[in-house]
Amino acid sequence: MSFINFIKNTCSKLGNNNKSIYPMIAIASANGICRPTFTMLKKGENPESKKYAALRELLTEVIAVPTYWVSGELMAKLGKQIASRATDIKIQKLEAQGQKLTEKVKTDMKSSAVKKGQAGLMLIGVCTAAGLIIPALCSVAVKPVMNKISPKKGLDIKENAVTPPAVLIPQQQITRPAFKNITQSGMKVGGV
Amino acid sequence: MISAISKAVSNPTLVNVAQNTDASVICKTTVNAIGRPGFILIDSNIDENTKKFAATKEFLYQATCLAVYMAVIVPIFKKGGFKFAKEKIFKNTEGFEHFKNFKEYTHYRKLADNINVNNRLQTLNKEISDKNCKVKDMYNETLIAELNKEKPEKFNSVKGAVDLSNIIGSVVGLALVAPQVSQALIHPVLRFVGLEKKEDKSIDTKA
Repeated sequence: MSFINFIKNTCSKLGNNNKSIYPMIAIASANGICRPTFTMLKKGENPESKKYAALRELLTEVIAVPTYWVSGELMAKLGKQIASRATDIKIQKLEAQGQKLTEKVKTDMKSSAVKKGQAGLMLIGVCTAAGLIIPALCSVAVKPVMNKISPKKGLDIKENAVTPPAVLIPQQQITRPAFKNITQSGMKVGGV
Repeated sequence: MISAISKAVSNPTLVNVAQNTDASVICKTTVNAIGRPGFILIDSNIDENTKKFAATKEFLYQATCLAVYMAVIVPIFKKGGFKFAKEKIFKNTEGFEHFKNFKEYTHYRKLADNINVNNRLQTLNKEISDKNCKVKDMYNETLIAELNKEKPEKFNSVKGAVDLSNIIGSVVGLALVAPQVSQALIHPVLRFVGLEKKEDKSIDTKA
């Protein structure tokens, strides 16, 4: 019964204010558990390499979770300030035009604008984190951390870096010998 | 200047995407599909061939995640989440009794979000549903009475239930299903594009 009540409360809170950081944090946390587990479950690979790859994936998600949270919340704060100032300017303009606005209307206008501004900028923050900040942080932080943790310093430590298959490795071109006209040679084949 | 920024940031489409779980996940995965391969390509520490291969692989992985999420996870969890919450958790209470599906609720919520009561009612009177009848006729008395109020009830639990279901769907889709599907798809595609060599499984019988 209490579990049902917990779900009901969660639904009510989410319905009232769903932040775009919630699904991102949930996905990153699940990835932090699932991706290393899948890597460790792979068959036919060197156990040391598996451990290394799983640790690297775990580190990436460990970096991702707080980054989503911090960038989303910071951008939301910025959105609050921008929307609040913009509404103040709008109210001043309306009052200068001769419109009389009650305190309640002003408060409603402000709270509505702030909510929208926060939501919009939080999404931008989360997308920036996903597309720029997290890959940049990973390329800076994962390498030194992995070097300290793992004894295999020579291994590939770049995010997503994969050794290309043989087909991509440039091979030396075979130089064919120059073709000589058959009539110039001293031998004839087939008696013609 | 600040008004222009505020207007851009409070854009209704952007706000709708931000408050909608599946839309924001789609947005984030799209950014990932562009950003991650981009970062690999600009990395100067990797050689050209590795970069090309890794960037293509990463792009394919993110694209598969996006496709699986949009095609399978969103419809299942959106419809299923509403039905499950309506029948099992809320048992037709707390607003669920007024709506047959989430589409109906979304329509009501859009109207309820409109601050002006007159605008709200005018829109409702004008709109015609897919079945060639007025949308107003599909609303029950309770909903119409709510829309006449200055601050109508928004039945947050209904939206929250679908959002929670979408979050669970996102986790299942992007952390469990999509990686497995992409594992099966990526290598054939890479081989087709010519970035991966076909595995040679023939056994040397001459020995």
